[in-house]
Amino acid sequence: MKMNAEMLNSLRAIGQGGVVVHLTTCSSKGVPNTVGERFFSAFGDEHLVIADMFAQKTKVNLNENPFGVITVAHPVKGRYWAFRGPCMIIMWGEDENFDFHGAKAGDVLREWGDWASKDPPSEVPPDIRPPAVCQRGVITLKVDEAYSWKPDISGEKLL
Amino acid sequence: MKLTDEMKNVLKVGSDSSVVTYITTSSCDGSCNVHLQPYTDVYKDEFIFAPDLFAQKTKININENRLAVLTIAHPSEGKTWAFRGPCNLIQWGHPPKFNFHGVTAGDVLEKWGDWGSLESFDSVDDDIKPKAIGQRGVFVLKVEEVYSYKADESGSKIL
Amino acid sequence: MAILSPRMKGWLERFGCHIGTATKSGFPTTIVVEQAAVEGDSVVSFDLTDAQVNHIKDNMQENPYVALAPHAIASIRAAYQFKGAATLSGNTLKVDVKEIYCTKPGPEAALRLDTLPQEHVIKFEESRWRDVGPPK
Repeated sequence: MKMNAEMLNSLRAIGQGGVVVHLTTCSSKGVPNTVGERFFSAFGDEHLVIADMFAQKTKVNLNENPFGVITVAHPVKGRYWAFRGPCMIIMWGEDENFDFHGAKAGDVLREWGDWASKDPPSEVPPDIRPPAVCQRGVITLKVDEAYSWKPDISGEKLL
Repeated sequence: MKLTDEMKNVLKVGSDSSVVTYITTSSCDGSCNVHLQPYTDVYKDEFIFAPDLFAQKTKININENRLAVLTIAHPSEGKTWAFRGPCNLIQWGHPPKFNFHGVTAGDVLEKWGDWGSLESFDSVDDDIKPKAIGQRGVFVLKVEEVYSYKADESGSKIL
Repeated sequence: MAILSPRMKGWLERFGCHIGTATKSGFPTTIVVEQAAVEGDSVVSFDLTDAQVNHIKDNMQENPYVALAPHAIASIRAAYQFKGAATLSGNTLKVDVKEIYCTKPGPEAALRLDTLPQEHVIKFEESRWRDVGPPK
């Protein structure tokens, strides 16, 4: 599913004028995990990507249940968006021709595999900035569905 | 508890008689995880260090229950040892003065934070060698107990 | 129910496992059993010595969910971890495997295999290791 121009314009790291998002995954038994993500961007017009720097339960969940939801957290400014679809971590070491629903592992890693160099978190205050980063891969979500999380219409389809 | 010279020789980085080990951890409600660890070193005679290269559930367990058992997996002849004690993960980003049972994060990360500078990761066959490595920290196990896992004396104290 | 592949069965039977056990409050004890028998698709059976029984029997009573990781050279070549419910009867420990993970260092580390169709597991093994049969 292709995202619209307004979405693509907003779906990038907050330091680039974009947004902070939450990524929700869950275990195969249904225990959810929701974490805030700053290193975030659209990739093409059908995928969203997040740097895998500190993922723990997210990674465990995606390894047994490769599905996720990304919700806009801040600043919302009317963007009550939730994106749902298959999700995995394309790790350094993956075959570069590996294809995840139209996204090639090599392309994803070349563009976003060293996020801190490309887009350093310089806007983050020193007390909450990660002191050191070590990226192992790129969390990649293929957008199959976009719905609103606005309380009074929650679940309504956006696309 | 101080390890014997024989144990130190086996577990030290670059040892001629080096071994592959397992680290067993448990969640706080008793769900175990056994994690392969090919690289180890000994510090101040009573700590065993190992790099965090691909740990996932081990890290989650250590975050909620700081205990581990390290067993010799291969080659184990004459070395049926199990080392148990408090265990933590010193990560890039810990304050240098962070102290775990007398070990400080700064000392650990300065020397062991880039394990590849201590020993090569290339000594294994191509089909089992990781294609890319990203170290996030160092596991520190303070040995408080050594028991034998030899079948006919399993659990008997060695140290 | 998890299904063990022929490759998994071969390595488990030949080399046995490090068996991680714990109290209900999470105090771990690992024992090592150097061979095993696989019964059907998912049960791994170990013959324990009296010392091994005494070493883990309290844990088994309190918390029978255990983790298995292949021993010896299998720790390198057979990078799997199995988890399941154990039953200790006399000197026989039977583990009904419920979860299977790949533990090969790299992008596939911690990938859960028992949730994949069996034909996918076989293809995965063929793509990751040169040896897919029993250990030589």
